[in-house]
Amino acid sequence: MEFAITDLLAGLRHLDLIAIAIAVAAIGIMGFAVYFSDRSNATNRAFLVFALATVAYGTFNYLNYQVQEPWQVLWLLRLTLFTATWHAFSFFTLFYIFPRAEITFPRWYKFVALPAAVLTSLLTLSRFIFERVDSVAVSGVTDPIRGPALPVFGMVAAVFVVAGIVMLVRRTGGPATLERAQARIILAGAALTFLLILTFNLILPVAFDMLLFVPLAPIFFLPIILATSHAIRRYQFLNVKAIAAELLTFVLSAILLAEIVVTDNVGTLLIRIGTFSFVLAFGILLIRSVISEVSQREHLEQMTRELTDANIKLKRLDRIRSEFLSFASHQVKAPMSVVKGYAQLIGDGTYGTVPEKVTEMVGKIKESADRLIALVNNLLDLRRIEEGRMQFAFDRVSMSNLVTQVVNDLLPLAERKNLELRHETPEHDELNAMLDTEKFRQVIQNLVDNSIKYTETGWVKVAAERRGSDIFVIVSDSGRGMPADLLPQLFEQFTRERDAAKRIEGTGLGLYIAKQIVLAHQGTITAASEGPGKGSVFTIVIPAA
Amino acid sequence: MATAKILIVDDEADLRTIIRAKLEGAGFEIREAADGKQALDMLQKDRPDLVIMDVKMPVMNGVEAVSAMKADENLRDIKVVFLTNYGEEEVENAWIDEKYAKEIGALGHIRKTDDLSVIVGRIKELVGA
Repeated sequence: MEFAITDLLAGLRHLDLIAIAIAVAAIGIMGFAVYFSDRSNATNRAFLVFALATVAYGTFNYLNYQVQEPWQVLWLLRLTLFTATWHAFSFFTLFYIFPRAEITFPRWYKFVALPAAVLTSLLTLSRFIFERVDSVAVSGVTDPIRGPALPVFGMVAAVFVVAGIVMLVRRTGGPATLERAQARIILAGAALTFLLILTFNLILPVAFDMLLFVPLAPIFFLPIILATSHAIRRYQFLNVKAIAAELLTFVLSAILLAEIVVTDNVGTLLIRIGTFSFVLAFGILLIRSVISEVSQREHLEQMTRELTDANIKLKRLDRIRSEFLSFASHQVKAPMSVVKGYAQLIGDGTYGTVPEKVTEMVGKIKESADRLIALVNNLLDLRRIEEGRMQFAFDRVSMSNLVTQVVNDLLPLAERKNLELRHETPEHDELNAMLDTEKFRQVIQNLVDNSIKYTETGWVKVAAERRGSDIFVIVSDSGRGMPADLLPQLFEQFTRERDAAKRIEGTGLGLYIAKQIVLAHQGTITAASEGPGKGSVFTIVIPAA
Repeated sequence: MATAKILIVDDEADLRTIIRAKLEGAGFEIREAADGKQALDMLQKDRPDLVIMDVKMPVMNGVEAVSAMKADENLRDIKVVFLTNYGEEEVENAWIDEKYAKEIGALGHIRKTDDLSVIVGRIKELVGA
């Protein structure tokens, strides 16, 4: 019977220890869980520091009632206040930062608050706070001889705690934001924690001399830690898998910790401490990897959503751009056809004979209008090519006829520059090929037009001939030619010889479009020049039909 | 041979003036209408040898007008050619190309931006044919 009672008493004696072990493990795990849910987040970091400070403070606070030697009690008391200082300071820092993800500390924090915490914590280790411990109370709660600076610690710690609460309360006001909702949850937890501490660590000990509950401080801190962890993670991250991993780690480490506490054999104790450390470390790793996996997946899901949205917007923009281009093209072409029409009517004498100078001028008006119309047509072609919408209607057509027509159309242009423009086609061969007549005409026209533009004196020649199963169309001239380094990019968009671009009109689109059209005819187009001043040769090859 | 009569349908007065000047110079007799509806009304009273039809017009566009002509027994045989700025651009109710023009019963399409000599050449060809 006696044996049973002793056992029961020992069990009860351990009960507070087990409760504290569970509280400490829970606080530590929550600290790491929040931290690992987003390690770069300043609030999460501050929460981990606060949780660890709570663990340290709670541990020392408990341990100082478990030792018997006066010097041990004295130093554990000093360490309790040392960690209490940092606990208060980390509480203040947490709610100064909360809920921001990034923080730059102001000067007063670095040069006043932080030094105050450092000095006070160092002071707690000196004899000015606790001078000595004469005897150790049998009840377990010892009253030490207090030093003169004890109120300094009290004041500094109180200032940090009050300042932290003030900041938290300030965030509970204002509009109904997430931040306000979070702050209210934390404030509720904090209120419960302070109520517990006030009751058990202040009112009961001071008014009723009941010191029994003082060692239980870590348990009293559970509400605020739970509330803060919940508030931070509720809006950042909440996942069943992560919570399960946390619970598992928590339960395992709490059981192992309790086992350590009831061990009285040194060998077993060491093994159990080893097991506990291993499980705790492994558990934290597990939580960390689960959280990182889940958050990565969430990140990917969000990115996918954002990309889908962006894609829809891009498509809409592209359609608007297309529609605008068509609209703008018409808005340019309609007045241009009127300008061009009247210029021609004046020029050809419909409204009476005009002086030669006027004929020349209206000729220039017409040319300018033609250039603008050609530019708009090029832009429309470019759009069609880009969108893969350029449609081709192929017919079996005589290349000889097409070349002859183009040359005849452009004769006036060549004559104006005193250039010889001629074509060479075989006499008894139509040179039939499958062509989209209008588009292929555009290609040859473009090449001949270019040759006329870039030739000051001499000739431009268009030759069409059959070589094997292919038809060759060769446009050559005695003009400026091209530098070798221009050739590779000649058929790309907006390529123009810098020197020529200054003096000769053009858009830099013609050859690009020409190449796309030739490609659609299963053909090739190439350019050659022996160098500047030596003329150029453009060769189109397409299959005969 | 009596003078050939041509109806120009276009909402833009300047364009009608320009084409008219050129065609009158070439000896044609010209009528004008500003939209498809007006053109259909005029066609009932005064049969031309050729209708030159714009595409994008208020009240009734050119495609609708040509379709209405083709559905009307009296007007079905009148020659029509489109004269437009719209090539293959896809603007609602306003795109046309040679193939589509022929599909709906017109003789073809002429670009407004071509030289007047080209435009008039095509028209002469069509009236003569």
